[in-house]
Amino acid sequence: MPESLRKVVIDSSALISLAHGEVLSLAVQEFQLIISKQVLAELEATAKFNDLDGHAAQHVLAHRELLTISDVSEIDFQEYMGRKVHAGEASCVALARQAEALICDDFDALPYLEPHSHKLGIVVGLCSMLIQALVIRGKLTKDEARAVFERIAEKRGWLGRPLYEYGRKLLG
Amino acid sequence: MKKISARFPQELLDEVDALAKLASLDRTTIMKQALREYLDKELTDANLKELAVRRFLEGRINYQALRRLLGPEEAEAVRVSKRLMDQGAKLARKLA
Repeated sequence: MPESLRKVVIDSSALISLAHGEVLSLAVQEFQLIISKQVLAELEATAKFNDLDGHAAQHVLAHRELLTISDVSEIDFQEYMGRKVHAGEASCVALARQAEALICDDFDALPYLEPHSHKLGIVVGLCSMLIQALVIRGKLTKDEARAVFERIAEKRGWLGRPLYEYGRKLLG
Repeated sequence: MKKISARFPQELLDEVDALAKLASLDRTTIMKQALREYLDKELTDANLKELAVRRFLEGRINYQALRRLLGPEEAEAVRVSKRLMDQGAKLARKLA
């Protein structure tokens, strides 16, 4: 993995979104995607389900060698945990201090991650930010990116579907 | 409480009045209860929640309306996600 790749910490929900959008292979080539062992455990748990998210998690795990798996102890992320912020997201906050951004698609957790990210100076975004970065780099055309958002929206529920469609509209 | 005027079919009002007499309640109490039960039932439906999110993202309803429709936690999840997506374009340049 080239040293020059930009480091991005990513949680299981965003990885699953990238897999749904069929853009994970490109994302791992273009960014150093860093996950915690807790995120890996979440992906392994999700991969056991025979449903859309389960299949997407299996696809992410097939790319495991291309992800950077970092060890972070519970004591370093305990303070970020809460009713809506589980070990996966909280461990990402702890890791993100050494990265350029934290990418998280867990809509319910985001309002609770924000105060920590502000305090720690972490840039937080959804997977839409990575997709937009790929467009800016010229790795995806706008049409291809729109199709990525459409594929993600198709596989998400009542909350995710309109949000990813909104992401598609933001591409212009 | 706000007073509104609305038109109802006579048969529906007859049924409401019959129930009101039977249950010793007034017409307004029955109609409020029926409306509340309808809204509680319908707003648990994922399609209507999705529609509320869409309307908010389109700017056709405000945050207060979204909050009333979804509840505070889900409305906040939508509001924050929208803001992060809006900021994403600018931040994506730094990542690109």
